[in-house]
Amino acid sequence: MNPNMAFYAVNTKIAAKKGRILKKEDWNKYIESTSVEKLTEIFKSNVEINKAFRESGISSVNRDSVEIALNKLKTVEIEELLHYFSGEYKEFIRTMLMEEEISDLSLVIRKLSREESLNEVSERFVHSKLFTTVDFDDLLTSKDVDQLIDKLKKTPYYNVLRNLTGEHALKREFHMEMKLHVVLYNKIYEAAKKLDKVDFNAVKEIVGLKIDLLNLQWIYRAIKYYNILPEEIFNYSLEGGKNIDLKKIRKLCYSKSIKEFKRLARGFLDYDIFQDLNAEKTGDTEIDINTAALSYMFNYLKDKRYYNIGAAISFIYLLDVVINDLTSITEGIKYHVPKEKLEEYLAYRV
Amino acid sequence: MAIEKMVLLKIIGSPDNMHSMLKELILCENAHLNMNTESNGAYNNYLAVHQYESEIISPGVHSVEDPEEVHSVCDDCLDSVEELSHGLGIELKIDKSILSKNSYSLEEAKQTLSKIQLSIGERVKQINSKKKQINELLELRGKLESIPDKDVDFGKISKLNYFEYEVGTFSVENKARLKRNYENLSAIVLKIGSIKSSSEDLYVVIYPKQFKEETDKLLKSINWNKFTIPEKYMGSPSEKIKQIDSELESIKNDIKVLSKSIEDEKEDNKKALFKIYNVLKLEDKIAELEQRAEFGNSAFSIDVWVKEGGIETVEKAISSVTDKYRISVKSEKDLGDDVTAPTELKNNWFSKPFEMIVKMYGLPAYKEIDPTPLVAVTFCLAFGIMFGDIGQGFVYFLAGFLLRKKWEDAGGLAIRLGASSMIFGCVYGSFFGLEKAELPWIPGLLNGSPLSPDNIPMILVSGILFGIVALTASYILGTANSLKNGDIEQGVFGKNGIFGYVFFISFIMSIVALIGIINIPMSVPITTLLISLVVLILRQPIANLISGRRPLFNESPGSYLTESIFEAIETILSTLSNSISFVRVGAFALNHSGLFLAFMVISEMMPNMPLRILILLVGNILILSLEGLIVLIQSLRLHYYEMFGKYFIGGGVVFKPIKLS
Repeated sequence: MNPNMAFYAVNTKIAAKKGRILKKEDWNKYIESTSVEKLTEIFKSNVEINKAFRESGISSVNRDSVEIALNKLKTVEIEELLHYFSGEYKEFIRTMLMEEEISDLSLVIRKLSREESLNEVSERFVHSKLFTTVDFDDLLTSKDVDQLIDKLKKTPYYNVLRNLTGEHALKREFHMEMKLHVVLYNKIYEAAKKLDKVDFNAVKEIVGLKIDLLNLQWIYRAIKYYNILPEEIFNYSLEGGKNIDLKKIRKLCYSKSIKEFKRLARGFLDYDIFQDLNAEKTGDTEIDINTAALSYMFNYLKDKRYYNIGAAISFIYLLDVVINDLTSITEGIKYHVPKEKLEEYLAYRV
Repeated sequence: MAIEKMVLLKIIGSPDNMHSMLKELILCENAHLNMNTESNGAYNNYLAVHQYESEIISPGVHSVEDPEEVHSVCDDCLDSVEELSHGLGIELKIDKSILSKNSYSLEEAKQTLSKIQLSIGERVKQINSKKKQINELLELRGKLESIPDKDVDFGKISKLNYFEYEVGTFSVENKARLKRNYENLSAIVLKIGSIKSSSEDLYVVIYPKQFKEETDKLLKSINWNKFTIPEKYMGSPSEKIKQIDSELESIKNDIKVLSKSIEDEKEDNKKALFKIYNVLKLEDKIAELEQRAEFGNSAFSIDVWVKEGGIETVEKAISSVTDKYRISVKSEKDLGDDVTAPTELKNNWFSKPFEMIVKMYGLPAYKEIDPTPLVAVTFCLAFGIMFGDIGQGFVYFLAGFLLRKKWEDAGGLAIRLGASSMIFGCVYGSFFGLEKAELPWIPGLLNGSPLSPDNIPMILVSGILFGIVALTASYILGTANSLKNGDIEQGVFGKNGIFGYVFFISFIMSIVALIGIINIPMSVPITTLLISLVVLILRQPIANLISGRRPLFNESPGSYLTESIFEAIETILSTLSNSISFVRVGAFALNHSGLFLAFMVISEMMPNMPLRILILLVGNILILSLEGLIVLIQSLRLHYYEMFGKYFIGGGVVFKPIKLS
């Protein structure tokens, strides 16, 4: 099949899905709802978002279960998109599902390192059951981190995790997170190299931007909160960024203060992603730099039109923004945050 | 020739008999455990349980062992059995005959196991640990071997007052990163060799003692894998290798002595371990099923899927334990849409091997029609038309025959494709590429070679005709699948349904009318083409109108129309590409003769007979291997892309009867 021919169908499908997900009237209804129960009803009336609820099969309504359902949205949508691709393109889109797999894997490792029970972990899983490369049922029988890592042999994750110990996973969570991301983006680029040149360039642009933003978040957090050596920060950062190459990453890692870091980042990105950070006000920075990055991603992708694989990738990354926003709304509704205040926390401005 | 009919059995019995009933259920190997328990009330059939409780059994106190505990006991015991058998060099196997004959309990198995443990356990443990030691030493030796300069004395570096060192490996991508930031590192990193077995590089890192913590963290960030050489090995790598070799020798001798000491009891122990292994496996499986069972006041129930024809076998197995049981049978239709029955394909001797091709694409869902019989016919036809040759077909036939014992499906496939190739060889009049001109006695329906100008258009057209027939069958199957699932929108008005087919045929007829092969007015096919296109675009409101559902559009009309107009454009393009795609069937038939013609010409240039025969032989081998493979791929492509897309739903769950593995 000529992959270019299928883009007609994919683009239309994506446009329709996007339209349904970002429908303004619906978002207004979300923000204006008065309780999590009502919000869930409105979520379920949206054709696309309801798919995630169906997939998770939850019946009880509380903030936690709603969030679990929302987190499955991306997996469900990617699985649907896969129908429109074949060959190397299908393989490429399948690698995009690894992000959810990694998130579940990190969840299990975290639970094990904290010696918590794995009993109800599988309910929180977001990975695609159809396309997973990891036997999660087997992983859940592990008694400690060492056993789990041993079970990961033959998966792409083993190499980067083989010297991870329970204690290390507990004290330096970032080690695991960043190393797993290295595998993810290596795999994405590996799969992308087999695509046509136009498509590969689209990957370099969009995935590259995602990597830039991840690196900025990582270095920001590392400098501000963790006491880590610049050499280490550099070694943990990801390769393959769009605007920020290894040379620039090195400069960022060795910045002497947060102020210098922000100045450098502004210059490299040609945009100030820190301008809206209400972090300084709330102190809840972890979430906020994430929202700021997602918001930047959203604004970048919003007006772009791709007639190649870029359409699918930008839709997938858009879902990250949507899920983050819908989760914020659910939390906001639960704690009765006023509508105007709640809107400030969203990347998607209605 | 279809998908096996399945029924859901709810087996209800007294908890006192649960263990034996489940044992029989496992040994009869006919029941597939229903895992789909979360699907709301679909499976709940409490009436049967209540009936059982009131009519058959009186309430009482029943004690059931905690399956969780049984599971962990079995796990532990299986570990020791495996350790013992490893040490004794026994390969453990499941043997149902051991289990059906005896009534050896878990307790007895545990006791026998501990007896064996007591008598030879310690020695076996030693053998195993020594075997492990050998492997570790061999790995260490391999790493030491990888250091090119075998006279370096690491002992000297370790005696330094202010420096420490580590030897190890790290991943390739980190190498570049380390290089870029080398000036900031507080350590010297030197490559000292390459490990052959893991194709990794071996590095030595030397750093000031005061920077130990810093260096440790840094090494962790590059996935450093430390290579520890036990201190007892002294001197340079070559000296260490010598010490390791002599240690290996002595360990091997120890193993020999230990093995000899347990040799006398080996046969008895082997038999006992076999029995224990099988019992443990069975008990473990029973515990697993017990966890899946549901309990009433004085009854248990378990849901299993069974083939319609297998109900009797299961009932017979259960009734051999007790007559106080009840089995409620429900067909998948009684259970509603949420329930997924497992799929098992059932085909006759001719189509059976083609299940492999269908399964490579996906397993059909229980509610869809098994496409294997259609695939069997069209696949044979496509392959035969593209690769028609009596002699070469016979080679495949023969190869399939030989392969059949080792790999049944692939062998069966080769036999059928070879036969089809031979039949079409008789049509083309071709024997190992030679045609009537060379061998006048071979049968052939064509007048002359396939490449003669009279025959070329006919062969190309017959390829397209084959395509039209194959696609028609695909549309019929697609429509039937959608209607079977009650989807009128797709089945009647969808692109793979009735109107999709009308569109396809109108499209073909328009071309036929345009070329003037059949004398029909152009306006007729064009009108039906346009009508069917409009229906395809408006399929959802039309289907809703007919079935009385409101609103007519499931979403906003604007977004529905945009989407469906684009889909219509895609339908037009795919219809065009579908039809053209089948030209390849004819083209490959011509290509087949063309390729041989080339070898024929080369052979005629040769000065003597042996060389000519050699060229023809090489040509035939190339055609058999390379062209055969290409034609196979083309046939797969035609089926997967052009045909399966029209009818295949997929997503079936494999029917996997509960058994010991």
